[in-house]
Amino acid sequence: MKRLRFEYSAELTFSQNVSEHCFTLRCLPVSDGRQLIREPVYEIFPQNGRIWTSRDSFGNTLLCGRISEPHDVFSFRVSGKAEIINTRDISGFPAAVYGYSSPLTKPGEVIRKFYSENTPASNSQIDRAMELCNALYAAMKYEKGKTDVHTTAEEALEQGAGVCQDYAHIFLALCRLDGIRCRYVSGLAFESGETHAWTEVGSGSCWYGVDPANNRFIGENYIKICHGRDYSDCPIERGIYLGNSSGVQTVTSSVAEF
Amino acid sequence: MNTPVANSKEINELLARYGVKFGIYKNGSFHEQLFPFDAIPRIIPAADFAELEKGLIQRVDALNMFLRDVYSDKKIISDGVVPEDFVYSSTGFLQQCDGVLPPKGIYSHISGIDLVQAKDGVWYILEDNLRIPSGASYPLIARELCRMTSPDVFREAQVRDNRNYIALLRETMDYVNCGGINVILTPGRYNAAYFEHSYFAEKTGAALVQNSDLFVEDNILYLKDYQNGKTRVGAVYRRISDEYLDPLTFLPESLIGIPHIMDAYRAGNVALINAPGNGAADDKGIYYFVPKMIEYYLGEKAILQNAPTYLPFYENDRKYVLDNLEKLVIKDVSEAGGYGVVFGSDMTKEQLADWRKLISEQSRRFIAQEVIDFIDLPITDEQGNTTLHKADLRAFVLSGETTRVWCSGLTRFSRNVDSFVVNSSQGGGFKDTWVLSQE
Repeated sequence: MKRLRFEYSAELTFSQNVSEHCFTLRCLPVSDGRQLIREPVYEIFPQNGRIWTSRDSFGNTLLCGRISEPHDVFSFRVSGKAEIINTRDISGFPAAVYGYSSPLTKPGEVIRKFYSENTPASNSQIDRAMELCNALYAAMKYEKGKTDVHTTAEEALEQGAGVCQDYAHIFLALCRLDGIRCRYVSGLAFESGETHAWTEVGSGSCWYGVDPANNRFIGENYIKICHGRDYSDCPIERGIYLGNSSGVQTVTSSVAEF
Repeated sequence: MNTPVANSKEINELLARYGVKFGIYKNGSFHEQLFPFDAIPRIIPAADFAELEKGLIQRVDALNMFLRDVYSDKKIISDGVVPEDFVYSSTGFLQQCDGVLPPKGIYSHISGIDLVQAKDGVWYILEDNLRIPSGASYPLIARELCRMTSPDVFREAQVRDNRNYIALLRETMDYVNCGGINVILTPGRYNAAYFEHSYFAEKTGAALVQNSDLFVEDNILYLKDYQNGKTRVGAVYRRISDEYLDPLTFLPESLIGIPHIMDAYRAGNVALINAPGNGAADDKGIYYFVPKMIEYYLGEKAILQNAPTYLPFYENDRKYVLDNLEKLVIKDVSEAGGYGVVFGSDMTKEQLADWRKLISEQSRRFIAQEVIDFIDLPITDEQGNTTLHKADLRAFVLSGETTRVWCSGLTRFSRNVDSFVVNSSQGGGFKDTWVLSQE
């Protein structure tokens, strides 16, 4: 078992005031068969809004809120402790829906061709998934700025470059072509920096964490925040507001042993 | 009883004056057009309707049980009755609704079931509309006008009164209401069925609202009032489609939705009529399985027949479809409103070849059906001549404490004498539907 302390904060700065700001945050990590979350604390600014919790159909905890008053900065901060009690999530049998393609992982010609050229030879699902992960890692170049949150797996593989989110999406698309149930994960993995994206591969009654951008199983310092079929199911922050304004987001996070 | 109401022209003028319109989008711009009314009613004898009623209640009950099952235990999949692929690959299946039980367990409160009657008198189900079936207001208001222009006819003919639709609708909303008022949510006046939204609001006493009138706090939906106050909403008869309902759950670019309404719904604090995710049951690909659902959930044989349907997804069916394409009608499962429907008999040799290729490549995307030679109904044209047009019937089934069929319906006829397409968005007209109280 490993004990971790985590912190995550994000700040959205708007070019002009916005109002009637409604938001859904998937920023609270949930305890599962791999991680136990202790003493989670959150703060949201401005503080004059209404905040309440909800839950989505993927099992994520949501912080919902509505801030009517005009504001030009919106921020939230989450911290707490986590105990990593297992190398895989043993809490649930992977649902069938994770075997079907989702908006951002729909395979096109490029992914189908790649799959047919790299069809795994192993027997077990986990070994097959890791073969696909290897092939993908060799074909992709980690590069920021070439993709954004709306980039599909197909587009990312076609240009051969992207970030952790793109690696995750391509990997999910390939696994699903292979009949493997798998899901997208947002979380914290580094001593400091931004949030990370990885995946979980379902096999038997377990979910195995696989980090395609680093071509390995996840380590003990990974803390899952939320999951879904792909990124579009579980953005950490999603909001809608009144105001002709563009927002700039800065994110900081840290994970440390204690 | 061929022309009991001989006032088509007069009634159409009244419909125009009352603003009974139908909006369509054509080449990217919005046009409102009148929905032409033909005064010769479709007449359904009492015994025929009694049989239809039994079959429709059975079908809608099974569809509601299917929705409850696919969004919870999914037994019909694990028991091998409906292939998993047909549920999860359907664009109508919304993962965001999985595990959510709507108030009183009802998913389809207002179902519009489209039927046609073949020349031998047998009724066939054409499609189920469980999302936002529109059109009940047209026969309601047309009947009202007919009563005004020809009161004698209704004194003499044994026609069942259809004015109870309003009471049925109100009871349906009240039954699932979670505490608070009823509202009808419209996207606004540029919607094809805006007339109907305002008509039902006025008649049922529900508030007619747009998204900016509503907000959610602590998972409870409220209506704003003019003094900065708020009134709790317990049921929303929403006339906007699922994907626009909540920009924080579905399409982020939706400007007609209500942020967090799905959270209020998931928490069991508001009823959405009809429930989001109903597309999982009225998908054209799922239609094929409805008779099997009736047997599975109710242990009964289906009373009303489907049109003979083939799924190219199954190899045997695909072979039949490819061999008989020229006599079949092909429907794209993701399209609605008469779009995406093509007849093999209209295709050239090259088109047939193209379609065979397309169907082989995308077998899940299409269904094929035998063309049913359904009956023609007489229409009086502008010159006063009677011509025969194809017509269907949309029956309205309301599910509240019990499931009830409205003893009327919307009879739509094709615009052109030869056409089989009767959808109002394709320029057809409508008739009143008379259900007789005795033979």
